[in-house]
Amino acid sequence: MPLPHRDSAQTASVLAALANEPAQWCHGYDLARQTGLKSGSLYPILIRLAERGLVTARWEEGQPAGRPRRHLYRLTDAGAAVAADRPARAAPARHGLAERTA
Amino acid sequence: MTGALTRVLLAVLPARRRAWGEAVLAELAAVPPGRPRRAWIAGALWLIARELVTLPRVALAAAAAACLRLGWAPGSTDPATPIQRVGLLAIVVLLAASPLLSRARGDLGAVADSRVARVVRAGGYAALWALLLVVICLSGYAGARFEHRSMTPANAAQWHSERVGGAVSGSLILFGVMAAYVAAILWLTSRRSPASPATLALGGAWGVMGGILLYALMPVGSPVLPATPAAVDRLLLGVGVVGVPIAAGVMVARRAATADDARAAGALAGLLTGGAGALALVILTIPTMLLFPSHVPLKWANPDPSVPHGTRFEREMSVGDAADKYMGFLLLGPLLGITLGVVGGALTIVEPRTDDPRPVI
Repeated sequence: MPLPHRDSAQTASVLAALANEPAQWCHGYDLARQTGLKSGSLYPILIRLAERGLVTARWEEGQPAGRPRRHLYRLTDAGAAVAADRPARAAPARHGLAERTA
Repeated sequence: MTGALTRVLLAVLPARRRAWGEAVLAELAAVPPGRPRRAWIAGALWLIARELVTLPRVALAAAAAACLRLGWAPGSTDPATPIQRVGLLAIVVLLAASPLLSRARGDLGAVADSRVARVVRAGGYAALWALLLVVICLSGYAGARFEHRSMTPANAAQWHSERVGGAVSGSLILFGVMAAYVAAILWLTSRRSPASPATLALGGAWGVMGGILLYALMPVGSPVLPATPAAVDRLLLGVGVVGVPIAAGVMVARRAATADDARAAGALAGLLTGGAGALALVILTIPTMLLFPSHVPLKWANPDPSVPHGTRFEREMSVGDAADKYMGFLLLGPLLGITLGVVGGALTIVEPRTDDPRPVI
């Protein structure tokens, strides 16, 4: 039986931010604003969550004018279950919900 | 951040992380200019740095720095030292840059998809760094007789010329040997390698065991241990030098489908056995000589019986000369191993297989 994984408060805050609207795809900068995390902290967390199968990622469809395609993130079913299991540990979001992409 | 810098940073990231590097940089357009954008760039650089500064890379950098620090010999008055520094630098660059070839394609490129190949490649690299460290320590000990001593050569110009000439040829030979071992390790463990995991495992293991056997018989370069009869020592030496590569060739060749394949498999196993054995022998024996120089057989620096024997100069010279012969094993070992491995392959009776499509080599 696998041992329960102990997430940090920062990881929990990312899970909570993604769980706010689990059907939506989020940008990295949106997540950074919601959680108050710097990019150097946020992305290693996203990488670990993706490697654990809790977050899925994809590139924005189509080539937008004047900027590169952005990477989008969403909880998997397993990630949603983990996020729902530990709402109390999630750090409160420091910013309001930003732009989201369906 | 310029596009060129971005491309460079992304190119040096491991392939599995490149998309994440692109992802964090793709967000830049959405980040407001000024402090938030600078903070985002700093975070992106931190993310990339974390991926680049891995434990193997730190170990590699530490090994390179330690070898350069130990081998640089600041304040040396030996005319050979500047040349030896260039040679040392070239070898450090060679060893430090070799892992980059692991990303390349081709005969010297990415490591084969087997645990044995990864272990042999990593072990081979580690052994070459150890060999370089041994050479540096040997040079420091045996070369000390040319430093700050009251040595007054009869013909100073000729002595200077011989020292420089010897350093040039010695550095070139050592670099060539190192480059050959690097190439052999990369080739034998690459995806296009003709050597199967079994050949790598058997050849490497038999080689290391043979090297340890020879070291146990001659720990400081003496051909015979005083505690055992000479005939026994010679027999064991014969087993270590001749028997081990032949045995490795036979064991590997038994898996071959044809007589030609058996000889080829024997040659590969012999190459591995000879190379691994020579590395193990040199890496063990020379440090033992340096730790116990008084046990190394002395050579007369001056045959005049009125000149004192066993001086510090003589010890340094004796250790240096004995160790040079061992360095010759690095060239001789693989060549002898190939020859004896082919003999082992030729001695193997191959039964044609019709139902077993195993890899022949």
